[in-house]
Amino acid sequence: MQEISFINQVSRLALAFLNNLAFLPIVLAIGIVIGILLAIVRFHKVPVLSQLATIFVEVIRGSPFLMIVFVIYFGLPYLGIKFDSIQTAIIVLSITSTAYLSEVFRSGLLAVDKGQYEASDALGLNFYKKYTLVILPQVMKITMPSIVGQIVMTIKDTSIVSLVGVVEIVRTSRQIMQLTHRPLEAFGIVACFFILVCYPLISFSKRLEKRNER
Amino acid sequence: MLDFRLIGQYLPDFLSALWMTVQISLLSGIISLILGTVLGILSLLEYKVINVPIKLFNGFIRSSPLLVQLYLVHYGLPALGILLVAFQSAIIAFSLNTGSYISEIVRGGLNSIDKGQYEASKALGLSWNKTMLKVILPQVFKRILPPLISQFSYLIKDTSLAAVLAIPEITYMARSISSTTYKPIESYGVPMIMYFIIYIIFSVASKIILNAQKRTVKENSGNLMGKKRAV
Repeated sequence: MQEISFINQVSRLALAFLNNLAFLPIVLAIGIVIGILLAIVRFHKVPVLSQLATIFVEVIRGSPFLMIVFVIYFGLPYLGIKFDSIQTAIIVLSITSTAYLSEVFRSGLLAVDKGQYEASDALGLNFYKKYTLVILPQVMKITMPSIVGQIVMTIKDTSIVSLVGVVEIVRTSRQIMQLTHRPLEAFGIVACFFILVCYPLISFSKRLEKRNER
Repeated sequence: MLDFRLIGQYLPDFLSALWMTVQISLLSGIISLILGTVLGILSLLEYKVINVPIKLFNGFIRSSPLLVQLYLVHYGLPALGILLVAFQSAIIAFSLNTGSYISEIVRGGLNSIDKGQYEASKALGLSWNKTMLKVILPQVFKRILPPLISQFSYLIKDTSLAAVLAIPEITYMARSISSTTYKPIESYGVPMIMYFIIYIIFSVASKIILNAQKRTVKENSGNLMGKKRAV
């Protein structure tokens, strides 16, 4: 049994937690951009594309996160497509957040008053301007609570990619546990780090929701 | 091409894995339903001694990943002297997790019940137990059925994490069969379809119930309006 001081454990886990959070910007950017595109495609019922988008969203929402990780990391190499663990993490996190966010944005598009669409058409705004200037800002405001909720989900899901070898907080905590044999301490600290970030976000999301109701 | 012989050969394994997933989901589903209902009712009583721990528990469950909770139960409890088999750890972790989410759903349902229902039961001289069991909870469960169903469909997806503890459920089986056969399409395709069918069943059920509820609400309000006009 090796002695690792409490402070040492916390600082090692804090550094590892930065790796978890580092996934967020790119995953969110992909999720929001493609999510909006898929939502618009489904909203306008573009033939073929909208069916494909629906199948994609439903298949991803129907399968467990871990299963998608396994398919990409262990399944695809047999077909000659190889990703390392970090690429796998980015791909899987992006795919899932895209699917969930596109559903969020679709409900947002449906929630915007019909008059807004008609008014922008009446003003002669083209498709691009109609969405970027009129519709999407409103959609963003309506869906903000759910977007924050999705951020929390993504942060929590980063723990699962530890299973394919991404060096992040849960993997580091397992290594520490194997040295110290004090699981409650190691995993307790990990839980605290997640709570430190996620709890304020959840409260923020609830507050936004209340503001939208008013 | 799909290798159907391989699928046939491993079908019993896939089915036993499916049965394992169903067992874990059912057991944790039942426990979490009881836990969630009790916590939901308790949190409505507004005693600080009860409310603060429940709030802390809910905050903990919601803001930390299920995988960490699973590790805490599986590796943490033995450190406290409670020895667990992997299956038991999984059930405990999933029940606590889903129980917390269900308690919030139940609390929301209880809040949505009209105050008149409590007052009427009191006027009828019903005891608190009878009020809850015979009057309030049946209405609550009718209302919260759709969110409960989607919570259970999340639970089934979450049970895939039991693979981490080497419990032979669907995800674990997919991984182990793919590593022995080197056939990823068959060994991941069959489990994906299994999960997808379960997901579709649950989401269709939830939609049907939601529509039925909307219809009864409409009919009821229609009746009311009809009566008013008659008056």
